Amino acid sequence: MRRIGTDPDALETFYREHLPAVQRFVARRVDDPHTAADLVADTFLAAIGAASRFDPSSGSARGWIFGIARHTVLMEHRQRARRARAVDRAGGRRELQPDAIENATARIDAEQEARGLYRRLEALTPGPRAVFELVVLDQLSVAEAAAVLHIRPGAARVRLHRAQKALGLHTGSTTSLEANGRPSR
Amino acid sequence: MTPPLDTFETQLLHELRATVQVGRPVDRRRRWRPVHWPQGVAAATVAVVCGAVAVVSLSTTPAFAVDARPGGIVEVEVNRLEDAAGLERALEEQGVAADVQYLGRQQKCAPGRYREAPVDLSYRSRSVYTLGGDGITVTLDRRDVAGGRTLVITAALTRDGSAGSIGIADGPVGPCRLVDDADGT
Repeated sequence: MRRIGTDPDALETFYREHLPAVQRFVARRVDDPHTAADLVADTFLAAIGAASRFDPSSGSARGWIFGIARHTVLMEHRQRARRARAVDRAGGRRELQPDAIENATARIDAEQEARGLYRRLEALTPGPRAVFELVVLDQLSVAEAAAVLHIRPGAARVRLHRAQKALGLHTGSTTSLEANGRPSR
Repeated sequence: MTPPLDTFETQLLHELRATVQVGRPVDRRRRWRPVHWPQGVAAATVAVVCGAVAVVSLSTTPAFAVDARPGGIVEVEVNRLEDAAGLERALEEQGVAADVQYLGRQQKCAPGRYREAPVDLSYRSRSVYTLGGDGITVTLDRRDVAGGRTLVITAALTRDGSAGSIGIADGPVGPCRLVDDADGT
């Protein structure tokens, strides 16, 4: 994993393995193909920069890249308004070819329900929301989510319970979670 | 077996590999946005906003630097939007034909100045273009500007800093017909 910051072949292997998951992760939060493309690119670029600090004992590679992607998306949401105005003024955005737009649109369409749920999470406090996002929306285990958020698994379970309760979901019932907006996969 | 990559995914992979190969430290303060990837998409010019390109400088930092690197790479770094003609000459000394335009506020070039160079799939380009808070950097694969092609750099001041576009022209580059950028200042 640490070699992805210095070894192009290791980077390519990592990229090919995790690209689909990262793209779906972003599509669950963003409905614009161009913004999604930027976020996916930013996520992998950040991963290259952070590779030397990767600690395999702290969690899986998937959890690690999801943590980076989550931070990237949060930064995007915070800066969206300012940058959107600026990009519009500059007169252009990332150019995507028809095949890439088609693929991105398909991913975005497939995650429509997930984005609806993601928007509902705005009502939650940050701690429970973060755990709920990673576990229910992104299908990480509670332990993986805890590693991403640098908290203990027990604390993650408590926060997940609080989130489910706040959203009116039945605790511990995957079926009820899916019925409330998360499509099963 | 992983599915084939689309044009965006392929473009991004090449850019990430080039980032690792060049060994340039990843700067997360710089908004990463690939402006042109000759091996990827045909529509290769993207306008980008640079939040803090220094336009008024009291420092002794050169406005730009052009360096030849091993492996047929030319590195260009623009710190301030000054001396466009000097940058063109410096690139010409490296065997790179260039058209550099620095515009004033509320100005941009009318579209259609040049024809974008078509994608050459016979090699994997290592070009990476980056625009961001620290200025403009171009890692140019000389093969991308072989055969009479021209590197086209255009940058203009905006309310928040500057905006720029970079492309590779196949054939003549027409004059920059200035048009108002209604949203600029």
